[in-house]
Amino acid sequence: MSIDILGTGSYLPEKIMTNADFEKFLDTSDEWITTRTGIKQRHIADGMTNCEMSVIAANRALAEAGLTINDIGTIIAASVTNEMDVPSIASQVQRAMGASCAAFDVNAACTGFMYALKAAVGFVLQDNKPVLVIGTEVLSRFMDWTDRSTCILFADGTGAAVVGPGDSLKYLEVYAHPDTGHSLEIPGINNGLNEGVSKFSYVSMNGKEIYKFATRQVPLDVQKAMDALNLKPEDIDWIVPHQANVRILEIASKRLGIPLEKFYMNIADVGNTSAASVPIVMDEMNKKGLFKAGDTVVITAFGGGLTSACAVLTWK
Amino acid sequence: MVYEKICEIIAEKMDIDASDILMESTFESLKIDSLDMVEIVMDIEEEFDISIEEAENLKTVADLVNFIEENK
Repeated sequence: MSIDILGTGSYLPEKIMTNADFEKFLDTSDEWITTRTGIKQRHIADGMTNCEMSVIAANRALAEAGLTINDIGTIIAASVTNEMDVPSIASQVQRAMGASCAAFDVNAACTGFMYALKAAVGFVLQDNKPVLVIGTEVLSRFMDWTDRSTCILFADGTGAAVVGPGDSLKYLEVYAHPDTGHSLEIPGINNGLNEGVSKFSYVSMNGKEIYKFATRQVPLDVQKAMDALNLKPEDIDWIVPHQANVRILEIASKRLGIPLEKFYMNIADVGNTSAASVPIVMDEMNKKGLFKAGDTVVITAFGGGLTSACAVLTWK
Repeated sequence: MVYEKICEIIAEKMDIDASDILMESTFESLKIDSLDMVEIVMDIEEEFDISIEEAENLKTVADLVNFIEENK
């Protein structure tokens, strides 16, 4: 027993920031950003909250699944950008949608949706009820807009999936590797560590260390999954990757011997939306009709923690 | 020997001819950007079993050869 994906949904806020917009206030260029990241534009929440975006994405996923929020047993939201410490985003969504099911959040940075999916498998199987899994971020609130190495990368958006009892998911492993170098952090607002100092908290990242980690880890995780299921590169129809950097995926493609065309990318339009990245990509591919019944789909993600994960499912 | 191995690694990574990589070639002239450099350094660290901490100080192939000779 495992799970099926019953429906997917996503929401990208209307406001768009292009690379050219950054040229106006930062020493950077469209050419620099494009060649080093693959990003051309990103969506900015501009006042919308994670909860508001999640409700829209959730309703879209529920509609595809042919379910209502009352059919859901548990809501799990993955995020690093909840506007409040309490309640969780999942609880805010539950309240906004008038539901009475269980609700909680997961923080595993950009791998968060995969951890949430792993938790969802347990809830689905124990309760025999569908679970609403959300990945949502408003990272624009945590950007240092003077730091050209980070603020061009991260963006806002929400993806959701409704999962229920089934047999599509063949493999899902999640990992954590100590971030000894403090390579990717959001230190937290008023965390009490600096008495009397009230400082807003920004994403800080050692890009080179994360790049090293990702270019090693993605091929390792995917190869491990392929070995476990006895899959060859030609058996894989799609790789659904966390959208962090086109160059990381080019290297993964080369190392794994899986053609780059199988790595679906929307990073040019969406940027890095952390925990929302994987479900946004999945929904985009699903809505475009790219998944055919029986397709072998590999999902890979990595991020702060340092965390990583890989899943394999047979599309229905 | 170190030089030949470096040329081999760079040629493979950048998809260029190893004979176009000279001792005095700067990484800039070989169109190697900071992310390419991360990968090249990773391959070199593995090949020579060394650790290169300050890769941004290395500007030319000769800098890299010298660093490896001194630290291997």
